[in-house]
Amino acid sequence: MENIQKNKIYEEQFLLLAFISIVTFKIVMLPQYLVSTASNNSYMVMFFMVAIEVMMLTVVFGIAKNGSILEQDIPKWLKGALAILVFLSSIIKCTVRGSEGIAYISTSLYANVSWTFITLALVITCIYIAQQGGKVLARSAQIFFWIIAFAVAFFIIFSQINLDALNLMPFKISGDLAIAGDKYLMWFGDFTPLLFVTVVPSKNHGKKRLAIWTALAVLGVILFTVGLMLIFICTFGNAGELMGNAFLNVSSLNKIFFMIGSADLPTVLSWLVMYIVKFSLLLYAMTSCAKFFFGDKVIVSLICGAIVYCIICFGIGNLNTNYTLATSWLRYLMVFFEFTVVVAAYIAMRVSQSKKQQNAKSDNLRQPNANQTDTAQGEI
Amino acid sequence: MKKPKIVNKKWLVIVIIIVFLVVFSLLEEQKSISARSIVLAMSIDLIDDEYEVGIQLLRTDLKDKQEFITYSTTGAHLTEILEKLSHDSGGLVSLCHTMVLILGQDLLTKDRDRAMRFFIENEELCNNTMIVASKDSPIEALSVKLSNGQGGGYYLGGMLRNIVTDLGVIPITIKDYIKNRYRIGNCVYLPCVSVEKTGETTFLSVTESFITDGFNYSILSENATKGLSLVLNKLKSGELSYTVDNKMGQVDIVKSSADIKVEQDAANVKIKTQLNDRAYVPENIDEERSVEDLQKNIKKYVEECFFSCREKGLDIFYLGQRAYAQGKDFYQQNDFLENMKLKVEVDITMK
Repeated sequence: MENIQKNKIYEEQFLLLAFISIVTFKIVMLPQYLVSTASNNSYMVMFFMVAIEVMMLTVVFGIAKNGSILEQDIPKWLKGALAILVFLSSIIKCTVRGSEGIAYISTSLYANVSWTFITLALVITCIYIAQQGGKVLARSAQIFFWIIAFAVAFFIIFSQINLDALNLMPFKISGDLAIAGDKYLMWFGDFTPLLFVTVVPSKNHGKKRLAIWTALAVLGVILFTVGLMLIFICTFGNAGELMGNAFLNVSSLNKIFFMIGSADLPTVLSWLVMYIVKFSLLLYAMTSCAKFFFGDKVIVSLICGAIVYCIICFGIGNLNTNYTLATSWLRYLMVFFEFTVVVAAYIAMRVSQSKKQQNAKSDNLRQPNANQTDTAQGEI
Repeated sequence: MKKPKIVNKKWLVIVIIIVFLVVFSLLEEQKSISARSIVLAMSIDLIDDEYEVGIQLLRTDLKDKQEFITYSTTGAHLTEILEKLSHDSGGLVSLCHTMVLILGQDLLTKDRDRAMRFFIENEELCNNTMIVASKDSPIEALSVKLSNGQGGGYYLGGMLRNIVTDLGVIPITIKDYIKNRYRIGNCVYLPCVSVEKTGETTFLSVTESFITDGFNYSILSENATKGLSLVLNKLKSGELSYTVDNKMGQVDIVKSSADIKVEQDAANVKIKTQLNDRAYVPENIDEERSVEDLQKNIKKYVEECFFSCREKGLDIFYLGQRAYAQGKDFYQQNDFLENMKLKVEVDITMK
């Protein structure tokens, strides 16, 4: 019961988590990789894949409204199977995608700091947030949201980008788009961690307000992913294949540079907080699955954190290995896990609901007879 | 009986995280800002397959006395050179606040962008760092002490911000440079700087442009540079001059836009400019004739720019890229640029 309370989040918080979940890993190295494969039309790949993710998230939202998948009325063996799949998917994402962020922090924010320190600091912080449950995670995201909002406002006010639409032309649908979509699958499909929260309606907010927030979240996702790709291509053209961190490269083009030098702190901060939330969310999914088998103990979370730490520092260790792993067969496995879990969880939930309805119907049919008997007995 | 809690577990974890983050920088060798040499301007050239790199720093003492110091060294690898410069300057060389990068002609035409790629891929320089080509040795332009007491590199950084309005030269940043290098034709334009001396006065002149595709190059005159700025939609303000009946006048540019349409054997350039005569108008001048002269001048500037580049095989108006954007493939023919004719239309409105 306590567990259910710990993982209860409001609808708006779910939308914010979904936004961070989709956006975080797509705005760093992915634009560079997409441009190197599909050049000026690569924004279409981003649009197509993000659209699929948004659609899948609506299914996840429907499931999460009925509670976390581990607490739903579905067979225990199925819960176990789903937990194993999500655990594997999250560990792949957490290590392969997570190490991309660590590479950025170690080389760009600091001057080549060892991964071991950065990973340790991140894993400790994120495992702590994950251990606190979905509610704390969502609340943290809500607090961090203001940093993201500030960074966006800062960017809009001070940006100085000369967009050159010539770089986007010609509009051409070619096989390169499919190749890019396939090669970089690992960067997409970020929805299973949200299956472990229970979404409840906000207390004083109506449906209209939820609709507005949903529209804003979808718009935000499109702007941060497809919009960023468009700006990135217009700004750098095919030279985008040399530009590492797209989000920072685009946002660092501001007027303030000419006054006080490079002013990318708001963007760095906003990305870092998104990264912490996303990393915590993946660890949260991992620990939730592990706890399903080994019980709700702190040691389970710590072991999960230690596994992630070891894989990132001693298994991956640099950006080249990270890229090799991210574009290897692991991507197919991860996508299979992500989609299978959501579809299976949805079907299981519907079956369980229809069973419940049938039981309720048959109970109702039996109930009048029982009432009649009671009345008759009473009369006697 | 329950044991009394000495420390709340939650706060203990938070304190551990804070302590860890605070002492984090002590665990690694992170240089503080005072132990870094913040570079204001930098120069690179290629001499006999070796890079010659110069950096300019600003040193201030307690009496607020400013001194621009230049360090330079040569070497085969840039990482090695940066280490040497760190040693010489007594602090870790930090390039993230570099305002301007001065490049030598040999570096621009013989290096195949190895040095530029090093700075971009390693994120050594900020995307907004401006770059210029040097007509003479870049280290000379960097280290020259100007009559106003400022170092050449530092002065150039400040000057380039407003140069487009004053002189019609297009200032470009690292990201513009690399963007253009990746376009069809690989053509880039850079302001061209030279050190000039008049009597005892030493100053930097930036009125020309350096155009290169990484192998061939052309230096555009002041007028041809204005033509380039107008065609590439970069000259939105500034002044243009005309002569009617031996009387010289000047007009201010209020607004200007250009459109280029490319066909298999011809490029059509349409320039629309709005001018006003507040700058200087001689007495009794025929406005119609002055507009005609301005039209002629602009046409001449654009043609000079195009033909002097075409002669060297440089596609300065990015006609190949424009053809590609239209989905046409005639830009792939070898004689595509050679046979290209230029038609310039200038539409002037006086305000």
